[in-house]
Amino acid sequence: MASASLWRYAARRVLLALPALAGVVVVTFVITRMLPGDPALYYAGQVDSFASVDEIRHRMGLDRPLPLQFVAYVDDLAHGDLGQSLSTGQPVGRELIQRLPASFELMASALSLALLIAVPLGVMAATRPGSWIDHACRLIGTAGVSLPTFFTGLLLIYVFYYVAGWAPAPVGRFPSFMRPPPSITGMILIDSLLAGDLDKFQAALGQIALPALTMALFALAPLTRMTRAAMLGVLSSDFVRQARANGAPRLHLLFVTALRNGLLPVVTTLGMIASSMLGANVLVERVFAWPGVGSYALDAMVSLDYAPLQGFVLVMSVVYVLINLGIDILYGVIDPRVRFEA
Amino acid sequence: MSEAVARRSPLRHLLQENKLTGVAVGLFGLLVLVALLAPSLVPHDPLATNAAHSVEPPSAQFWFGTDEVGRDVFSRTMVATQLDLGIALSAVAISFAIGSVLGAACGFFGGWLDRITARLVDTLMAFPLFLLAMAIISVLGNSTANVVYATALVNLPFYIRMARAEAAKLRGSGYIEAARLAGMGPAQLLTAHVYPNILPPIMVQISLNLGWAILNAAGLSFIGLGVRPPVAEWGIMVADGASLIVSGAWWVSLFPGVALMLTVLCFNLIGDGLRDVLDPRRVT
Repeated sequence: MASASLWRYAARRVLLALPALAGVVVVTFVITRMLPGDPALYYAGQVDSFASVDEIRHRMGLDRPLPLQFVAYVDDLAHGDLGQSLSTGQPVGRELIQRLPASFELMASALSLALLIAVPLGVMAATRPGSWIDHACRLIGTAGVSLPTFFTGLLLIYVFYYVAGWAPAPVGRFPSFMRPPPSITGMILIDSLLAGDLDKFQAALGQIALPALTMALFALAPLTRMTRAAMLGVLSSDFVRQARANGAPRLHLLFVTALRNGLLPVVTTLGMIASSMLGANVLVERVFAWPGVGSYALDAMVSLDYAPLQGFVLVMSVVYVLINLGIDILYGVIDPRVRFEA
Repeated sequence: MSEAVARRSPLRHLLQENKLTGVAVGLFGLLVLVALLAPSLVPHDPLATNAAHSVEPPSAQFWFGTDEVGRDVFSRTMVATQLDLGIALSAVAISFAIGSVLGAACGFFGGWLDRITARLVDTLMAFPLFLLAMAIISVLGNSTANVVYATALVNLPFYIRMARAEAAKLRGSGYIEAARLAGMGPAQLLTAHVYPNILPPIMVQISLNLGWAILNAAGLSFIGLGVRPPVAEWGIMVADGASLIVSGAWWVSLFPGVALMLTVLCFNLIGDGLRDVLDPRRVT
């Protein structure tokens, strides 16, 4: 019966996400139409003589009323058409898909690293309020959100590449002198493991270490802070005291009984963290010349080529809406109570 | 003891409870001082290039060293304080002014105004903040004013939501009811009794938001959006040093980066301290 209520809850959440998606599409359409530069003029300069700008504008549908243009825009989107990059001549949609795995690999590694550090740290701080680890935790919570990602990235490069020499040159996701493993998932860490090539795995790990650490430091602060605050609340509650009185083993008590309840507020902050990580990703990709979607949009923007930027913002915003949807549903899985709220 | 606490002024209470907040308030004073005085006190012209002194490490002549075109990093870092603080303060002032008034009206009156605003807020919040700011500036064009507008617009939803929630909470409270019975009109109720009382929690938001706004503006100029070189701005300066740091010239990025970090830390510490005083329930 519990699963039926979960399905109903999930379906309602999906319906609630639709207006947000529609809003994203409308706003990106408005942004496209307001962007500087006249695409018809650009094509006219490339293909035809200047005399036919009006004709090209007509062919591209730019002389039609805005509502009609919007319908055409949505129709294009439905066919996965995000326009063409002027600098590479390739469809933006295809190029974004090619570069998405690199960005995803970076963000997933960073988030896992942040969770692996933040959750145990927050739990330990909550079990010993006032201890040095608690103070360290509060310090991380405040100092961490004050770090400019692009600056920490450069500092890490200076320390680990220039001074210590431990990290490889901070350019890209794979050393240029090696052949990357055959692309299956597009994520080099996973592809090299699938190919059973540990040397390549190690090389890719070396490349991703610093950018992932840079982003993890950024996500660490709010995660540690929330875990600590949530666990403080849960640990002083009756059901934890009861479990302790019944003789539950300490680790089980902390990480199973208490953490499952303490995770709720942490899961809600994940949405906020996703928003800031999608933004930080652009900066980190720029610093480490990481060939993901963020660098793609920035590189295009420099040459006043706006279709990639606009496609990037659209795709990332859709991803963000979907992440929030996933978090809402996860919330329903962890806490059955929310499924029955109006 | 409790009488003693009650008699202390809120500011003194804030500073005595948390030494770190005191340090942060002091740092903020220093930043404001630097912002006001730096342009007339710095030893070198922040824009003057000097090919003879390209990428020199810190010395007695150039305290923070020089950058690729021989500009003095110390003078540039100090002068940039004014611009970075200015961007953050004006962006937050705009989102606060519009957001708190609109949010309070929505929460107090409800109705169609509330429904339309809620839809707009939801749409804005569907975007990752930094990317929305990027898109807005690419439409409006690269300029300092547009960084301010983009940052303000991106932050607006938080102020609207917060003010709305607080005003809706106050709407049904006893003292509002009493004022209404005493014959006050809705507009008067809102301005005299609701609006002033939603401000304390919003103050905390303002302080934390200032830090975020500076990070946002510096991040945008770091990727080449917004403030245009050769203007001295911390994000641009860190970007100037990015290609030099791999060959060991750390000073070009380090000093503006540290200035940026300290400023954001300062606002965040003040925000935390304010929260402890104004909203003791949320102490963490």
